[in-house]
Amino acid sequence: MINYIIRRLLLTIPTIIGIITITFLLMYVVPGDPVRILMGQRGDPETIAMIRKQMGLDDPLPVQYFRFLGNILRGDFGRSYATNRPVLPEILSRFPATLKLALASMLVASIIGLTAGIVSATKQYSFFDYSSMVVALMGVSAPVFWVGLLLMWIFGYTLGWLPISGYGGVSYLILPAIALGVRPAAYIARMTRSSFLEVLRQDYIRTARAKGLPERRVIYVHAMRNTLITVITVLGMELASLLSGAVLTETIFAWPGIGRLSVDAIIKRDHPMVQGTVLFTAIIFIFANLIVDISYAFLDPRIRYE
Amino acid sequence: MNREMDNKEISTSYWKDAFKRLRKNKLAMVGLYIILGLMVIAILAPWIAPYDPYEVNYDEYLKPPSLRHPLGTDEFGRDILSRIIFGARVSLQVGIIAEGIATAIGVLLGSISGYYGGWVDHLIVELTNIIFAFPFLLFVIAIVVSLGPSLTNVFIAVGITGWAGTARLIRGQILSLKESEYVEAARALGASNTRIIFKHIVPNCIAPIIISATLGMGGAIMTEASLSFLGLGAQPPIPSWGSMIDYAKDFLRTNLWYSFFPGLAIMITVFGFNLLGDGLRDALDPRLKV
Repeated sequence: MINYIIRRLLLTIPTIIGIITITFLLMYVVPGDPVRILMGQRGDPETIAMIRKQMGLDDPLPVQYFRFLGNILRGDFGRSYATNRPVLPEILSRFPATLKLALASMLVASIIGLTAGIVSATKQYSFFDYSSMVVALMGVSAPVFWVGLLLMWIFGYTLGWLPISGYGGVSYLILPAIALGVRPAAYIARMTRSSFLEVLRQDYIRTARAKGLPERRVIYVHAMRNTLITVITVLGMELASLLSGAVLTETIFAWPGIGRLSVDAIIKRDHPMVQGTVLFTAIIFIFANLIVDISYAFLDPRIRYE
Repeated sequence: MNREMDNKEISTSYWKDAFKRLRKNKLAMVGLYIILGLMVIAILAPWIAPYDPYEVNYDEYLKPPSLRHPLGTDEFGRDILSRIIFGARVSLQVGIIAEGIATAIGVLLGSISGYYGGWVDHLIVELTNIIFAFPFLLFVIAIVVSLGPSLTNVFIAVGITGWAGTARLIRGQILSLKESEYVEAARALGASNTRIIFKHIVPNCIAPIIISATLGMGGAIMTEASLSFLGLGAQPPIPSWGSMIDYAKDFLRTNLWYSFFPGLAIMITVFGFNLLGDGLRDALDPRLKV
């Protein structure tokens, strides 16, 4: 197990270096002189030339790249053009909001998704099965920002039950969590259903039935265990992608997480902040997926020996 | 000669069978009709749209749905129905062009990777891993910001980020196909590598390519809508469903319909592609059918 974890950790190194490289190149080709953006209309050519030199923008590409790489590895993600403060602490201060929203929408998604998936599988081809799978596919097809706006209109403007947007107590969390939870809920429902159906066809389920166990025990004890392995993986992967910031949901609900931070940075052309958020979320995503893989190996011993 | 005819018969009956299975799948047919209907709307847009989608008319500022304007008007008095009809052109273009680029890159890199193996394979696999490690939307946003916001750059961004899944799929198929006897036979006859890949292997991967491209088109349309919603895709006054919602959200409180209809159009379209993609998967891959 330890060997497996170490091997997986080592395998992330080239991926992370690749991500840093791509992020660097993306911001290197961005049109517009960063110093101009930084100075606005104020700068005279001499000052600009001086700042360019200070920032090392006149150095050859490889020199700039290795300096960037070195800085990142030391945890220095650069300074924001907008505030001139270091980027990483700002990102870290936004992370709890993103985490809160991700966990809340995951809760919504698992309750709805698991229930719908299990009921559909046990009553395959029933009306419930049919309609819940159609609804699930619609949930996957609806744009999250549109679902968010509809929820706002219904529960915020029309019924007045919940705040439209902003950050505060639990009441502020409900609408964005539901909006963000729709897609993972649909996905979890579909995956739960299909893996449950697959498990139900296994020999050991037939054996369990043949020896006269009550159907409830067969489904909720025997079949459930092996379904959960797949379902937990799906949950983990969905959580990983939610953690990397819900750009659209955070934007419409004015939720101060990393997704909103990155969109604001894009609008302000704050390149180091854009770079920082992309890099940070990609790294979070890799490690979250790594934890999912490791826990999968832990749950299913067959994986380890591959 | 005889053998070739046999082969043809087998392959046509495979597609015939698949089509039969597809036709029995009601949901998949609904998906197909949605997509065909959308294509007709996109092609006939200038003839079926009741108004010019760009025509500004301040007398008709933000009117609710009525007989004159079935889906209402926007803040410039433009007819929302007409803009949605013309928006179908934008969405279908994105679906076809962007996903086309992604599929082409994916098939090419996936074949090279699976067929040649060695360091090329390692490099391409690592590249797909890196692309999968990026949060997809943020990655596309970063590319569009680098290139500058426009519809063309959305095509490019979706194209260069969307190929990884196809490449992984094709690589897996090729790894198993390249050991098969008919490929060995082709090699023994002295066929070149390019010929073996594109004449013998890729045609046998058509089914998974079609499935992933269909689902990918829905994904590309959703990505364009999201980018346009953030103001990074189609630029005004182009009638893109995503950017319509971007403008409509400021009037949400009093004018729900303005946000509602473009979003409904996105959902129906993506739903259509997802239904068809799911149905194709069941029809083209009988092994997966329960």
